[in-house]
Amino acid sequence: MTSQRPDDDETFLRSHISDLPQSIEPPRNLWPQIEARLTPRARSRTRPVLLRLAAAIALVALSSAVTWSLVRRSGPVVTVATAPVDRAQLARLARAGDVMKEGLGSSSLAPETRAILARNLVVIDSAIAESQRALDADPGSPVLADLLRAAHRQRVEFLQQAARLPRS
Amino acid sequence: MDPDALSLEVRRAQAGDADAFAALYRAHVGRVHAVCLRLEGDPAAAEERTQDVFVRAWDRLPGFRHESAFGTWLHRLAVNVVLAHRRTEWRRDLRVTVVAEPELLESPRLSPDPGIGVDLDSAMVKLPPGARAVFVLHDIEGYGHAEIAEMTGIAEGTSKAQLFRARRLLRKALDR
Repeated sequence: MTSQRPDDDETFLRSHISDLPQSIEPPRNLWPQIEARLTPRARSRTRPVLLRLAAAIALVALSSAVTWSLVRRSGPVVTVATAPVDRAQLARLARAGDVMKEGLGSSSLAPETRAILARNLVVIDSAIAESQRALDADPGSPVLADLLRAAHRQRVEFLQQAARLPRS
Repeated sequence: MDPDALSLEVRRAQAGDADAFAALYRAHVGRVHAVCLRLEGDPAAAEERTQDVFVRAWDRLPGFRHESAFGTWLHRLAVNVVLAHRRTEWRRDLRVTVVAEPELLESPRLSPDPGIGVDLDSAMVKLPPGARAVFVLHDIEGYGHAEIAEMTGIAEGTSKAQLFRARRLLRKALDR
């Protein structure tokens, strides 16, 4: 039997605990087994959501394509509107949306309303992510910049509407 | 993965995007596996629990409210999944009265091969399951005794006694 006091044990072990790795990778990739176990119910839910997402992206893409085609037809004036990709403007729009979203998070909306808003934001955020990825792959494209700008504006407008909803 | 990208992946996964969920798996599997391994004390069981955690996370993601970080939520879920799986065994072990158990301190389970150094992870594997659970939850994961009592269904005093037992056994193993 050791004569050390309990406090000594704690102190002694503390340095060993701080040396423990926070992360230990499993010896093999577990994802294939996990993916195979994801429930059909959960998977089936993805279809309408993805369809909505696709619809949102398609809507934004369509409006951007129309804008771009009008821009091309109307000559030099619109060239100015679309020529350089204004990343600062995109960042401002993104920040504005984030601030509004934060404000909405602390508001007293009914839980059902919050759930609806959250679901719609997921769709819009996904559209933004898709557009951002496309722009990252083709950074000089004014069409893709328009697409991303439109998606950000859609998000800001949606959040503005949400902010006007009656509180519970 | 930076926090913004992670948050986006979480939202995509919530919407049912399995690719986004695969990205979350890659970002978090190390931490989840670490907690499963330490609580289970067995590599094969830890792999099974890690899979269980991610399957459960997929099912519960739609209810994730972003009130805490996703990693924190997932970590808590991992602890709960392992506890639920081991509850019966641990409760039995956790009921053992511990303070006056000198024979346990001489237990051959904690005797490594002579001359071989032991690190804490290796020593923990050899702890009795209940003592290991309380030690991992309290000293490594930072839960209080009241939380541990609630999660495992034991009394707070039992949790304290098991922690004393675990620390004493570990010190003895590491001192060799």
